[in-house]
Amino acid sequence: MRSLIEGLRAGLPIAAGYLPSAIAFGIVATEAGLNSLWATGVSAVIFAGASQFALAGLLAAGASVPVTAAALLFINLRHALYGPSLAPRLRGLGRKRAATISFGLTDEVFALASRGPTDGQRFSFLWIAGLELTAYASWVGGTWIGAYGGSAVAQTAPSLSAALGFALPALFIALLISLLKGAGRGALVAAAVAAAVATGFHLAEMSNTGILAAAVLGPATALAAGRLRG
Amino acid sequence: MNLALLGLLVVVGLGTYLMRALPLLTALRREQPRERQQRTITDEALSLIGPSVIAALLVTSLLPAPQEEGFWSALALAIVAAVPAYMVARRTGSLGLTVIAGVACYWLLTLAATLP
Repeated sequence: MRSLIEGLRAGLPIAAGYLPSAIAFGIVATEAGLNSLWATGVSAVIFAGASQFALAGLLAAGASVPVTAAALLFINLRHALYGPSLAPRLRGLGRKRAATISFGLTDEVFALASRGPTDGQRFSFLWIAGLELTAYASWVGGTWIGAYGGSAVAQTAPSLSAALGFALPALFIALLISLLKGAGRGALVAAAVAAAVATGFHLAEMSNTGILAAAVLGPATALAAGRLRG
Repeated sequence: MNLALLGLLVVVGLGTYLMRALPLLTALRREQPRERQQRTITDEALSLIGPSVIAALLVTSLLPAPQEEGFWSALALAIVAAVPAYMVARRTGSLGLTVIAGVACYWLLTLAATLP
C-alpha cells in the first residue's frame, strides 16, 4: 500500500503539467465538433496528448477516418520504444501486470519511470500503477473540465494556466539531470544528439516525428561514437 | 458520425495500447540478464532511450511553435524560467521543488510582462 501511495504522490508533478493541457484539449475537442462526453471519452480511451490534439485538428479539417487513424497511430509510434527500455526494471512483474501498466505508458510516465522512485521504494507494480493513476486522473479530469467548462475555465486565471504549462518542461529538466548524473559519456552524447534532432524537427513543424527520430538517432549515435573510441 | 468516431476510437485506442504493451511483453520474454555474461548492444541501446526521449521532450516542450507570433520573446521567457528550475534540480534533485520553482518563475515573469 505504501508503494501505491508513493506512486500516486510521484505522479503529482505530471498531473500539474497535464491539467492545463487536458483542459485545453477538452476545449479544442468540443470546438472541433465533439460533444463533452465524446471529448472526455477520447482522453479516457487513447490517453496520448499529442495524438489527441491531432485528432481534434483532423476532425475539424474533415479528414477521413482511415487517414485520421493512420496519422494518430504514427504519432504514437514512439511509445513502442518505452516498454523495452523499462523492461530491465520490470522483470518479475508478470505478464498480466505488465499488460496492465502498459496502458498508461505515456511520454511523461515513461520519463519519470525511467528514473524510478528515489526514496528507497522498490520499483514495483503498485508504484508505477499509482504513478499512472495520478497522471490518468488528471488527464481525463482536466479534459472533462475543459469540455464542460469551456473557455470560461481557461479565462479564470490565464496567467496561472499558462504558467502551469511550464510544469512539464520543469519536470523534464529534473528528470534529465537525474538520469545524466553519474551516467557515462554515452548517455550525454545520446541526450545531446536527441536534443539537436528534436530541435530540427520541431522547427520544421514535425515535433512528433522528431521525438521518434531522436529516440532512435540519440542511442545510435552514442553507440557508434563509443565503438569508434574503442 | 458517432459510429465512425467510435470505430476511430477503438482502432486508435487499441492500436496505441498494443504499441505500448506488445514490445514490453516481448522484451520481458527475452533471456534473463543473469544468464548472459555481458550486456548486449541491444541492452546498451535500450538504456540510452530514456535520456534521449527526455532530452527530446524537454526541447520540444521548451521551444515555442515555429509559426507562433512572438517566438523569440516566448523562447526567452521559457529559457529564463528554466534557469531556477535547473538550479533547484541540480541542488535538490527534487521533482516537486523543481516544478514549483519553474512554474513560479514563469508565472512571475508573465505577470511582470503585463505590468505597465
